[in-house]
Amino acid sequence: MLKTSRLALALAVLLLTAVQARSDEGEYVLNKDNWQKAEGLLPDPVLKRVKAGDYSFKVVPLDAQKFRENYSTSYWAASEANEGKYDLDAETCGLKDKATGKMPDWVFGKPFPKIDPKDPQAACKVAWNFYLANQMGEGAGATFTLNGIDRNGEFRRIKLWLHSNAYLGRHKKDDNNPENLRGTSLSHAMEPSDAEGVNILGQQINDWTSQDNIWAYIPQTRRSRRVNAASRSDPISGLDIFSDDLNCYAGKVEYYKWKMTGEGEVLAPIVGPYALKQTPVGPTRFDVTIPYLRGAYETPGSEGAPWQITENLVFVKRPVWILEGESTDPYYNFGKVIMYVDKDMSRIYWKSVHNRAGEYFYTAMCGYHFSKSDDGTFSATTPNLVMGVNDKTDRAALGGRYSSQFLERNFDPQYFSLRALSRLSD
Amino acid sequence: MSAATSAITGDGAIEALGSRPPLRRVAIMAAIAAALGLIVFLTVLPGLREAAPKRTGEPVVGLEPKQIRQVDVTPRDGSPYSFARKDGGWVIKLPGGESVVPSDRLDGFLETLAGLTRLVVIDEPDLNRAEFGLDPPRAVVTMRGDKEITLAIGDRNPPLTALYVQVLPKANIVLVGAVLLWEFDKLTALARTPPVEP
Repeated sequence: MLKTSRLALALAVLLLTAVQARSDEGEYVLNKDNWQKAEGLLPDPVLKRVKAGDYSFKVVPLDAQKFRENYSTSYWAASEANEGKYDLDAETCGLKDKATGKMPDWVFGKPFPKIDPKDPQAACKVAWNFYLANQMGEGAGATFTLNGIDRNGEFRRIKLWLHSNAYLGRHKKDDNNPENLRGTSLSHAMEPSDAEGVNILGQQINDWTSQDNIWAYIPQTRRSRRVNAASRSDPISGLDIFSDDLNCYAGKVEYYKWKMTGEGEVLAPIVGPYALKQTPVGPTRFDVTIPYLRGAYETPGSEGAPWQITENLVFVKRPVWILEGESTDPYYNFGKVIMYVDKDMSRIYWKSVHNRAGEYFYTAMCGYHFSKSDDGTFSATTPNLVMGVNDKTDRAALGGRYSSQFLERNFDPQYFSLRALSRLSD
Repeated sequence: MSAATSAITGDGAIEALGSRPPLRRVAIMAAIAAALGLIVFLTVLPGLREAAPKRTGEPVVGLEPKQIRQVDVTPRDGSPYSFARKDGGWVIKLPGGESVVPSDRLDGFLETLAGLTRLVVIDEPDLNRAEFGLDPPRAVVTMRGDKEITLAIGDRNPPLTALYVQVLPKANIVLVGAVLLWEFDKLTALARTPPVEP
């Protein structure tokens, strides 16, 4: 009898151990009770908030190969074929076609598919892989909100749409690029009334030295005025979110001095995590439906920080390069920025920002969704969420969280013009 | 009467100017315009130019990074180690010998420290240094060059935005940007991991 009991006990212990081991590998909720599991996988200020009960993250297992297939087969094939074709301008970190010695006008796939962390230019190469992956979806647009949130809930909400077109890293080269741009964007504020009608046009010229061209149309004065590129580091409408948070970095690669500081693993915020369906709605247009990322401030009975996401966002463990970026522009408000970039998918998931005095003050969490055509030949990676948290003021902002978007593969360049900028508010 | 004499006398002067060859008049006007342009360039434009923002505040230490020849680190846990300049780069000196380390790690630490200003100075008697992570400190770092600077590195403040340090032998505690800990952690990583060959 005693022998049977001992055997049963041993079996129970074995089973418990097996279940425990499986739960480590499988899905779990990271929270204040098990925060230790994320040591080294999250920036310190984020882990501190998990430990304090501010955040609960749903962590899911990931099929790395299937995740990789979020990008089209042609993207991976082009990346492989790019090996050895590109170099960097040592002074500016500008991309250089080895054959011509000049900036190329179209590069599909990773220009640097193999990264050696000991290479002095490794960080700049990772930055180029990131920049060009942002552009694979060609043109895109969505209507979304920016929500300022503090401990009491939402204190400001701005609704706007943003349309963008990419030239440099698209799947298929667009020869209709009269202004030699890398990319362009147009945004229009819809709410609230004090921001309504403010339109912004942005252009990135495809060279190594020029600053971003940014124009803002203010309806009260009926005038468009040029804005300094450094304004990408200004808070948007007083919120804890910045234009440079789009994709976690929205400037030209050449605008920063990049440095490789290490490698590791992080918990990456993803919608999905696998590619969503692109539904054709025209010869060059696709719609993508995305599950809404509900915030705690709009979820009754929710606990923790009001700005955390409570639905449809998962976290997956990803290998990353850890980069530093620093602008040499004295008007840029950020000092050292630390970014965690996916080694394979070239996404920046987290960035920690110091001000010019060296004080850390802000972390942005950048969540993405992926979409792919039915035949697998066209894919897009799109920033769907920025959770910007100001740890000095204990305030945050959520940006994005749109539940539908369109992809447009044949935008008319005239759509992104100064004329369009002022006409939008007529 | 010559043209010069006419210029001195009333109405005749206008006639004289009118009779000057057009090329000469254009040259005089161009010279006047150039002189005015120079005055504007030297006096008006500098006032319109936006001044580059300047760093304000008192530096934490008076440090010239290029003057530093050696950096000694005594960590709270573990054995002491040093970095020294050698052949235009930096080496780490460990009990087992010395190896080349990436120069940007040392240069980054020293340049960051040189650029930091005092955010807050805590200068109260009977301070409990343990509350700031300074008894014992996380590490004591001594920079040797033309002069010697010793820094005790403590904990970050509660929101993790800044770092408590002491510039020894001074007794007060100074709050500096947390970026210094980021740079210091990169140095300590060099002592933990095999050095990168040049």
